[in-house]
Amino acid sequence: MTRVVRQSLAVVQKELRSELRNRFGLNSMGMFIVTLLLVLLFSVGRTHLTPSITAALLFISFYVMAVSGLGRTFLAEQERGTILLLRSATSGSAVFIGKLLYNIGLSLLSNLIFVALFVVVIPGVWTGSVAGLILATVVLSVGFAAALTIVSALLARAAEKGMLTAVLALPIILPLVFLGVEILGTGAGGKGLTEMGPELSIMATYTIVLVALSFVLFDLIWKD
Amino acid sequence: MTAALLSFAVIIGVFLGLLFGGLDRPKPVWWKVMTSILLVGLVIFGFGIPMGGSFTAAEMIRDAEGGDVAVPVWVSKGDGTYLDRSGQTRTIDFSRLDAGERESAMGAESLIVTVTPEGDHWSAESLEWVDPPMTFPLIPALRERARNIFFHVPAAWIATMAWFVAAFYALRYTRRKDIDDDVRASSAAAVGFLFCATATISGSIWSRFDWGSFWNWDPRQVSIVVVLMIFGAYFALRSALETREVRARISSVYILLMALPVLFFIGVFPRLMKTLHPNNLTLNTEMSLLFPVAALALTLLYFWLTNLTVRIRLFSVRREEKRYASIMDRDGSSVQPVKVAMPSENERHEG
Repeated sequence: MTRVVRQSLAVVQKELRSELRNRFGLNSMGMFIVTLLLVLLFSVGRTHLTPSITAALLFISFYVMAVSGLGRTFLAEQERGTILLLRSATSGSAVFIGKLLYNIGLSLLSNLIFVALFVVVIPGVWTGSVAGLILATVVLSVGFAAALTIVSALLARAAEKGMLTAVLALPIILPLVFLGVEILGTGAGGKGLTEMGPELSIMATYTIVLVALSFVLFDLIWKD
Repeated sequence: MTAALLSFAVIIGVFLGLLFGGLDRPKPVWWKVMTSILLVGLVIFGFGIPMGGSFTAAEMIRDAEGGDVAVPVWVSKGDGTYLDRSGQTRTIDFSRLDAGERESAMGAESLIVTVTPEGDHWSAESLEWVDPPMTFPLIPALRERARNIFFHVPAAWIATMAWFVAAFYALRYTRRKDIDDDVRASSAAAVGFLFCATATISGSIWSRFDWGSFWNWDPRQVSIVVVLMIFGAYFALRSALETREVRARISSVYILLMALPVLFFIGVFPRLMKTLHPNNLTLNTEMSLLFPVAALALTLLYFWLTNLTVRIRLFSVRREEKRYASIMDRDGSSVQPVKVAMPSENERHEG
């Protein structure tokens, strides 16, 4: 057990190091968030945002950030030709846990920064519980990270990767779409954490089951 | 009750479909004859059994569509008046019928006539059936469209069941690594896609005429489209993977991963949203007998089609293996082909 934990942490460390080595990834992520926010601001203008439109805008932003940023986890290994090294050095579970943790971190970081800027830049857009917003963002980030990690692993060997990421991820993400938009809409309409609670707990359960199932299935992809 | 009968019929269908000949041997003759009889019977009875409403139904339709609409009602003879299935009596004026029809109407125990209201009584427009052996009730909102229930509902059930069949063989592939299991899984999904498309299209046409538009955001509409999307994504993934073994392995994992959305959209989602679908159908005896027959017949049709697809695909897999083996022989290579199993002489002739 401790060996798996150590190996997973090593995978996270390796990801962080290769990310920080050229700063390219983090910089482009920052620019992506700012650009996305500016596009939203310019297209919204002075229009008053209703709760459901706020929820939809937030959700589309999360989805775009996830598909563009997280879908490349395993493709990058395949393209650099480092996937064999990874395979020989560590066990499948460690790779999955490491990649998942790294993706969750990345997704949490970008989504929380985005949400903070979104709420500050468009005044009065979020009247509900702030804790609810943070909690919903955290659960959604984890769910997206889990879905895109396993889809990215599936697609590492496929021919047309870019198009297929969104297609394959959509059925797994759809439950999060329906629940997430509902929760964000409730919150944007000025409701507190208790009103957001039931859907939030269903979404958290779904995410946990998704992580567990992906963990079990990943071994089947990893073993050749 | 209806759902229980329907699921019972589907389970029987799964057993009958999988037990005899499985997915990759020819089905026995009696099996094919039985399935054909059930399917022909479904079409004949499903479309052929006449519909006759009650006077209440006729009044509802008259109120909705205007006074001169002729509605078929089923009546049995009381003394001087006519009794409908809800126990109401009305006088029917047969003077518009010609003499021969009037005579047979008078002699009958029960009949289906189309009627229009005329003051305080009903006037018979045409005689549809004399002593009909079987009748369907006329549901005012659905009328003849109610017959779609025998095709639409089983198709939706079978589409979901097809995912379970595909997932079963995908799981077996991940255990045994037998390429035949991947052929079975992908064929089960392909035929399931057909049934799923049937359910979606027949449902949205039905929805257009009864709920007002092709798409109503009904949770069951959403879930059937999700199942359709899952099958679509599965085939897109398969076509993007190059070698046979990688394709089998990766797509098996994908179909197993889809357990999550499938179970969510069947189990959780319909309870979160309001549905337009009726939860308790009230069917008369004829309808509730034909309904499970329809489910059984269409489930057997599903397994028949899957069986044919599997056998066609396995045939080309075997041919490829044979060609590979002969190349290896010619080159005198020491590498032995792993498995060369041709269908037996006997099977090839029957197939």
